Amino acid sequence: MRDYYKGYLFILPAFLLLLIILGFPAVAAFLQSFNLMWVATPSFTLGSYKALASDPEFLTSLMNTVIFVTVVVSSHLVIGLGVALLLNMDLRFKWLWRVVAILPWTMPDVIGGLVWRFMFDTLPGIVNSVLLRTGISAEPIDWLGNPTLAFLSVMLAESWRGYAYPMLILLAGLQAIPRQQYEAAELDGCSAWQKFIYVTLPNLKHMIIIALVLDVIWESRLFGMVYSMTGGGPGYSTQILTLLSYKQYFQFFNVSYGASMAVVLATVLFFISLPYLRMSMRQQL
Amino acid sequence: MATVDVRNVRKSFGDHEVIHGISAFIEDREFVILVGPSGCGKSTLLRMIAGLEDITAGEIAIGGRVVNDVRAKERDIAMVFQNYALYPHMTVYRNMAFSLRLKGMDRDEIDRRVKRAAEILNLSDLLQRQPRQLSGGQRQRVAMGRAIVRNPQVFLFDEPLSNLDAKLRVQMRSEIKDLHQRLGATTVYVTHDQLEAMTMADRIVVMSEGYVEQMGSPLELYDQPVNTFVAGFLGSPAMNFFEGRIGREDARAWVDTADGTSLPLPASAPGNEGQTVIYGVRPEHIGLSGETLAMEAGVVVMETTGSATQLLADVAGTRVVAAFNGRHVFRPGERVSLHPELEHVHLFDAETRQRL
Repeated sequence: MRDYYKGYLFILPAFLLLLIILGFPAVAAFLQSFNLMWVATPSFTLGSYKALASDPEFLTSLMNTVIFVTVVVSSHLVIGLGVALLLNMDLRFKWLWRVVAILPWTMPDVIGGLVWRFMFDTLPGIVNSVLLRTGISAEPIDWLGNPTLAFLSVMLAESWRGYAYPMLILLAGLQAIPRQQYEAAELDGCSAWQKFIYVTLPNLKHMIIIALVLDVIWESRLFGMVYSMTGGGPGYSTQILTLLSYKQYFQFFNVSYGASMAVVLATVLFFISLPYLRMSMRQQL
Repeated sequence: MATVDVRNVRKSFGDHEVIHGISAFIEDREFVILVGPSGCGKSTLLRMIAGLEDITAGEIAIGGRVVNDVRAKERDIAMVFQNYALYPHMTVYRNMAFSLRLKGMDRDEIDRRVKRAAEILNLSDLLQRQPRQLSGGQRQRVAMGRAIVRNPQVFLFDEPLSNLDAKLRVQMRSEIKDLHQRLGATTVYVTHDQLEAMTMADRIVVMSEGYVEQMGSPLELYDQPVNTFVAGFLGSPAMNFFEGRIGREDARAWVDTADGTSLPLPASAPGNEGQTVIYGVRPEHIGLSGETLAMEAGVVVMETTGSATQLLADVAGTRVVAAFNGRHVFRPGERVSLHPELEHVHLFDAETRQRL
């Protein structure tokens, strides 16, 4: 019985830390969104939420977020699975390739954003200088100045920076598939592609769901990469919800309005994470 | 059905050769067991027959056709794996039907074959289950069903019973044997368990460190082991060995060990007087009485199985195991006379460890 309490004692510091840096802001944002905290005259109102529904900037940012997360997470899964399959083969210098593959993910996202901003720069950027020198384009392209190109560029950059996380999850899944299943499939007459379809994918199903859910949550909360690369512009073209919430809260000091966006995002992410939570709960029981 | 011809086959992983030129011919419809301690190359040889490992040198022919460059799926063989290797997301039915579907076989034919195999293996009620809902023995049967439906030229088994508990292993042993008798399929079976080899095989191939030590029927190997390895590997409890010199006088012969024990030999035994030999006798060929020279032994431990009694005794510092039918009572420390049966004594050269 005493060991039972000791366990709680050990997790207490971490619990307190989480309470302060996550719990408090979460509760504060929730209260602020209803105009109940840090205002001159607290009074419960759904005003902020009502305003959201008719705010074109919010709706555009919400749409941007949906497109951004869908595209980036899909490409993460495709690139991640591809790289995981390569890294799972018998390669020379395997450890080296693994390190190289994880490098983008080790980069702080603000730095990643800045690096890509320089690369996409109109004049000295490497992308334009390659295009000009090889003659693919006669004039430099204003990657981050054109709304469509800017959005594509941001998604491309984040596809590169974040693929390693799902890749690691999928690689762990690949390594857990018994070799004999591939051999049995070989004897059953499977081609390489059929082995992928009938052995790899079904065995990887759980890992794919885990990678998908975690990556959706991760990418929906992304801030630094986009903020440092485009700041949400040009116009609202690359503005995702986290940027708008930040802008409303910290730049325009619309505390209640900015907080309500954070609450909406958190609520959506909670429901997205349910299948993952259910899966990990079931494994613990 | 078909023969399997292994001709001077070698296998290297990098610079390391693990199989050093093995030859073996397996007759049509024969049940051959490759047996040996772990690391002896038996599984590697089986995987080369299956096409899961390249053949470094030599040839393997199945049904007269050299298959060195034929891919596994085109060799017309089926394999049962130690951990079953069932597809976890498919039902029993689909697991068994999978290879036939890949071949594009017609639905009715697939259904007929799967149901027939299920009937043979007593799986008819489980066809809609998932592998995780099955017991170990049932999974093993599904793995066999997957092999049967294909009606292959050769069945390969890679330690199929190692993951089962002792009781189930005995039961599956007779099921596999019975299955072989009914289907009459050429079968190559790998195990490290000499008891499986002895009870199931038409012929046994004993392997050690990448070489074939001996090939023959179970009783041939048991009665006439060519060297001390085979003699010690087959049989449980294992054969007792003593090192000593042959002595001869008139029509008598014996072996004197270094610690002064004299062990009886038939006068017709091979070997010259003074030659250093290994003297081997199986536990069940030691009696408690007889007219031969006896080993004076001290009882260390007695074990009984109800139907037999096993004795671990000490003969001048050497441990000896003797096994007797029926029940006997021995007390630790008690002195007993152990009499080897002359006609069942084995002699091996002490240096080459080959049978004399």
